[in-house]
Amino acid sequence: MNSESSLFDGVCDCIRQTLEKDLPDIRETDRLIADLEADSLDFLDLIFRIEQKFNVSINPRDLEHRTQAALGGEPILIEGCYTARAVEEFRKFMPEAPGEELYPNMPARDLFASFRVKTFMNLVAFAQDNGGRAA
Amino acid sequence: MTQRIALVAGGTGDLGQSICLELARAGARVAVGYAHARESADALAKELGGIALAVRAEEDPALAFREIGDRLGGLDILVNAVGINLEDSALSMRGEDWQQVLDVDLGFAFRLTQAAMPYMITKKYGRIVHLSSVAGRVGGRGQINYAAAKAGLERMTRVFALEVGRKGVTINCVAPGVIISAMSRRIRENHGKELLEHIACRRFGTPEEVARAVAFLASDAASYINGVVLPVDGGMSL
Repeated sequence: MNSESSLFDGVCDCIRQTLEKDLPDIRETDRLIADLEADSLDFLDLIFRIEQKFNVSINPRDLEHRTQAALGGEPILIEGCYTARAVEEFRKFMPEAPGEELYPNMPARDLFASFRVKTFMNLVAFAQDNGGRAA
Repeated sequence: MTQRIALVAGGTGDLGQSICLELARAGARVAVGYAHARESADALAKELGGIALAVRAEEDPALAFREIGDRLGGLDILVNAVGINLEDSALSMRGEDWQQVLDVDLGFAFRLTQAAMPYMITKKYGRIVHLSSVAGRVGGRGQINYAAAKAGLERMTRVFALEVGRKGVTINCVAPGVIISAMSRRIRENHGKELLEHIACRRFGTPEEVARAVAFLASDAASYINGVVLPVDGGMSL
């Protein structure tokens, strides 16, 4: 189990390696895509690095899986957009994202735009609490 | 490619074995992937100083990559020589035969490539070579499933190349023509003379000739070649 600060440091190391930038002032609230200028391939690269560094298994869709588990058989997506109930669950799993970023009928492709440094820290912590798997 | 770590999925077939030998000759540490021919894979791996590894289309390829990581320490080169061919006329082919070839020759290639990415992207180095076929370009009577799968494999290769090239991973295809192998025995025996008339070199190829092309694309020397299909067919596709 990692402390909060070692989780932060580890995730930041992975971000720097992925983006090949110095990035001396990363903050937990930084969004990967909008603030740190990662693209979708960097996103996967980062996940792979985090998995190797922390010896956990995480997946960009883990939050969806957890939401689906919380809602049972109820659909979380309708025509590619998240239902209001699914968004409520996301807000619980992603308290680091301001509420207005996660809104009912949000297109699924937009979820990753809300991923912050803290989101990855939480995914790792959750995976560690669950024997290495995040969902 | 000294000390590069290579997996040859389908490493016990005629082409796969030659590719394993060629990569080992070039200095790579080779994992011989097998589906069922464990004894052959063990013998070849022993000869090459590598390892034998189960890589089956019906299983999760991530398991094989994890094992390579544990036993050899990573993955630099992936050669996909897995392929089946169930022939029948386009008009009478059974749905199962169509689907099985698509699943193995295209679907598994996709899953294999995707599963290799964590190892290659994080290293910012990787070489992936898929074995396509001249059938993917020109088709072939009785091979509607095989030709469709190989054509798909070539387009899939291009898309992967476009997406991951900037992370130091190259993905290419080698497209053999009629090669002297067990897979082509029937067609060589039944249509050999006719086929030779369509091959500029007027002979069939050897597994070693295919293996040398694969080894080149898998080498550091091919660092700026990405998303291509290299025909090794004696001019059959011209």
